[in-house]
Amino acid sequence: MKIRTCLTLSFVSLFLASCGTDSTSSNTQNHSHQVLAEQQLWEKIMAVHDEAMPKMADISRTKRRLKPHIKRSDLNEAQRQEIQETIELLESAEEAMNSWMNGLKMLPDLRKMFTHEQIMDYLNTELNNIKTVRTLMYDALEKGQRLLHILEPNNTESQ
Amino acid sequence: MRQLHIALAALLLLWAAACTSDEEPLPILGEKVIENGDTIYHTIPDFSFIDQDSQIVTNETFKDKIYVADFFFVSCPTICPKVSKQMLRIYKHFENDDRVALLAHTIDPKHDTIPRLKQYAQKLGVRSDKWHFVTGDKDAIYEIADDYFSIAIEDPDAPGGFDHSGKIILVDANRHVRSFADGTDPASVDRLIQDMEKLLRMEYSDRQATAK
Repeated sequence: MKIRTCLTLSFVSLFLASCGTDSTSSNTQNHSHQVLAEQQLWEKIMAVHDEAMPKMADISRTKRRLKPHIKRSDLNEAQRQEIQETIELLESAEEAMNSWMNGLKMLPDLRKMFTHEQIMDYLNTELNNIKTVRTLMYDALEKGQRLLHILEPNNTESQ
Repeated sequence: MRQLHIALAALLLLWAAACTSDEEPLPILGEKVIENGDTIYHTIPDFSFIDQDSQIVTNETFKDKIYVADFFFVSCPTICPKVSKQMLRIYKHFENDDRVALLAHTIDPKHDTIPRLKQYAQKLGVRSDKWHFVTGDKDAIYEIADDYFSIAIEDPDAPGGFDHSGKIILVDANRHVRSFADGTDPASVDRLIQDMEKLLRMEYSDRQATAK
């Protein structure tokens, strides 16, 4: 009787132990998938950022070249106004990128504070935000360069 | 036999001296203009910024020194942390040589305030008289960045935007750009450190390195 009890207990223990291992392994695997998904989404965000970021120098250069034209006496008030507004547009595009970067939470910090679902929501929102910033930057730059082309028709750099 | 040894040693010394004198100096990079037969090299223009100790930093700050310059911002999520790590390697390599200084310009002066720059420098554990983290008028920073990086325009592999290229520029006491490195690549920074040692050895040997 004692032997039978021992054997039964051993089987039950083994069964439970194997179930436990499966569950732990499945949890670990699930966690790895989650970490990978977060990492991939983070990299997507950084790819958009890294593509747009070099344009900051072009925006600054365009803005600096536009500034002296505001004082041109051969332009009318509407033209000067357009230059001023374009400079402001370029500045707001620069600021959009700087503000976005300053507000962005890093992945290790997010993992300390939020669940996987919350992290994915946050990153998806930031992916949309950085895409909006990129569009703002490209649009502002295009407008600025188009205006420079009109103001400096003989300058090959504005072609 | 003894005389033969002495003669061989003398020959070796002569050979070593000849090799040293054959060492090519670092070139002066950037545009050159010939004026009245003289070659005018590209020079870094006058600048005036404020560092993490609220001290004014100008070209005079680097009088008789060589320095490395880069452009960064505290919140930069990708390239800047890698570049700062390499700048820190340069700092540590030349920490006790006061002929060498470092100059990091923020390209986000609105958010990178002086206290924020101070905190950044303290986190790195660096001396503010050796490594200046400067801020100033945004246009002036971008303008001087164009000047530092005009040498990189000649580099066909240089990416379009200097502020995110991670370049580290070596400037001599005459404000000439002498070398540059990709600050995200440790091997490239190794070469820059070698160039700095060479520059100090060939052109600044009369100014002995003194430790602070």
